[in-house]
Amino acid sequence: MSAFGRRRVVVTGLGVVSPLGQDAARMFDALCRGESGVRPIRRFDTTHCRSKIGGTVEDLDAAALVPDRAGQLMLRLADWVQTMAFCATELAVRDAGVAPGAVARERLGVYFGAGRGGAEVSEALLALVAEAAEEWPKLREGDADALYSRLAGSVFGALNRIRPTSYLQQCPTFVSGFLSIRHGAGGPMLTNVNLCSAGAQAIGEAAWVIARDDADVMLAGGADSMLNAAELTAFSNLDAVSARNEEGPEACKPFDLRRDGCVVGEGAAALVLEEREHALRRGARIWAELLGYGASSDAHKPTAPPEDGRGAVLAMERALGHAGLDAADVGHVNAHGTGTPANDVVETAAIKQVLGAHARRIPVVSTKSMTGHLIAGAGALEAAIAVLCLAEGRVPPTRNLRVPDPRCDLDYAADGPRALPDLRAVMSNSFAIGGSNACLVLGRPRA
Amino acid sequence: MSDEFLDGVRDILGGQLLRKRDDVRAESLLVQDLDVDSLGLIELTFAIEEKFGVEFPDLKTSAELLLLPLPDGLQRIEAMPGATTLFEFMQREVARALGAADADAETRDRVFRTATVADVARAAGGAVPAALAAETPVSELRLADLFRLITVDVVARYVAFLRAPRP
Repeated sequence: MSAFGRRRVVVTGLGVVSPLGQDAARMFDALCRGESGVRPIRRFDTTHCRSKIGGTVEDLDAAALVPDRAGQLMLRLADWVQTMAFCATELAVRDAGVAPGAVARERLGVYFGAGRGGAEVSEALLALVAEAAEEWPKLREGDADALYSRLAGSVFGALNRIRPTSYLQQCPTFVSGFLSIRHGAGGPMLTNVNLCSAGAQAIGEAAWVIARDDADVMLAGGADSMLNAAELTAFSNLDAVSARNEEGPEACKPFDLRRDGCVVGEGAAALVLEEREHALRRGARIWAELLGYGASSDAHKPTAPPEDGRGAVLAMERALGHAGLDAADVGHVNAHGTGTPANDVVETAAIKQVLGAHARRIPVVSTKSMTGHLIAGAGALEAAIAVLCLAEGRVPPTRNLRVPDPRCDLDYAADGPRALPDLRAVMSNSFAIGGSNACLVLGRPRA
Repeated sequence: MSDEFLDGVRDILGGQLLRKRDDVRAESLLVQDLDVDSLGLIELTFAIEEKFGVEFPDLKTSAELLLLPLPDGLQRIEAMPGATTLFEFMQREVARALGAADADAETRDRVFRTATVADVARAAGGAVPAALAAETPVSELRLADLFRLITVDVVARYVAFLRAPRP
């Protein structure tokens, strides 16, 4: 019996906008081949950024994917993060075969994890401030206070030229908001901004909306891009990002002794979650069942997990408990696996604590060395990858792990993809800066 | 007179609404024909300010004001400090179309109060919107109904008015 009682929750649609493309099956193939979407950032000048590489989305043709005028009018208002979420959900809804209006408005909801968004606003603001600063040499008269006041006046004058729609672009809520309008989803809507756990939490909490009978179908996922000068620089200054720019796709080395941080990625992933009977009635293809979800907080430090990994342990234990599974039922873990010195050793210990001796018998994989870390989109993309692992009976390798860290002593499938034809349940971990932890347990569809 | 402005406003709206320029005509009604909503109106004023270097005065309206009978609402707006708003400009255009262009404020107000929806539509250069009846007197409308009567041409004329040198 799943966590969600009589109203079981299944996945009937998948959509991804990833650094490895927008075709979920092809992305999964590429991951299994160990291919990487990490490349030099070309979208902006990285001269003054510590990090110059990322899991970039370069081939998204939103106009081709959303050709109708109503959709394009909405995309006109959307920023980059909102656009990726919009496109991933478009693909997921098509994959699920849910026609517009097929689900009653009040039975359809949207829960999404979202990054800060509005990078275009902050970049426009930087440009405007720079422009205002150019006025400085012309301001020769008066004392320092008067000069300051005039310069500030120019800056605020510049602020007034920021477009009104820019406000919407910097509100994370519009990731879900545009989706709700687009799909006529009049049920519950929520945007989770818990950084690296946001996407997984959005999916887990969305399942509870179905379980408590407030919806039959939920559009759930996550989207993020920190690939802009301001956010990437600030994040790099936290020492969470690999400094090995010259290594490109080899830079992020999860569970490797030489690891020095993640590589930031961008993208979006969406799942169509559906009450099982509802899905069966309409003859939908069932990809997987969402069996359990656990959440917790480290309640520790702003950016570091506690050494005993108690928050991660609690999230995993709750997810397994809700799913009604034993450790031995778990056939694979999609780890958070950021490739930061702290995460990988703490996560390894936490997995061993939860799964006991069984932890050593199953592949524990980080796909982040290939996709980059999608932050608020990561948990959603990895949930989609977990679903594909179940559907295809194989799991991708952990790329770039060559020098094992003695404290990271599980089987990370460093040598290549694994065929697991009997894979029944996958655990997917997402642990966030700020302490929020989430774990999803997904299972192969069953009677 | 306002060709430059009309072309400019059509360009802005075409881009904003993803419509062909030929579908955005002088007589097009912003609400009925072009689906301009409240956010669209804000975007439009912003783009006009940028393109023509004018300052578009706030409409000075509130939800409460929009529900007032049209002539009373306009009187309240006129009494507020600030530049001529689009609503006030439309009132002038109606007065002008009815031969009271140079009349004093009191006469203009009286002429406006006795006008019909058809008169306002004619002055704005557009058709009578489906949501209103041609013979309805202006005094029976609410301030909000004025939105329905705004045409692309009226916006262009208003931009020309804002650009004109003030005495």
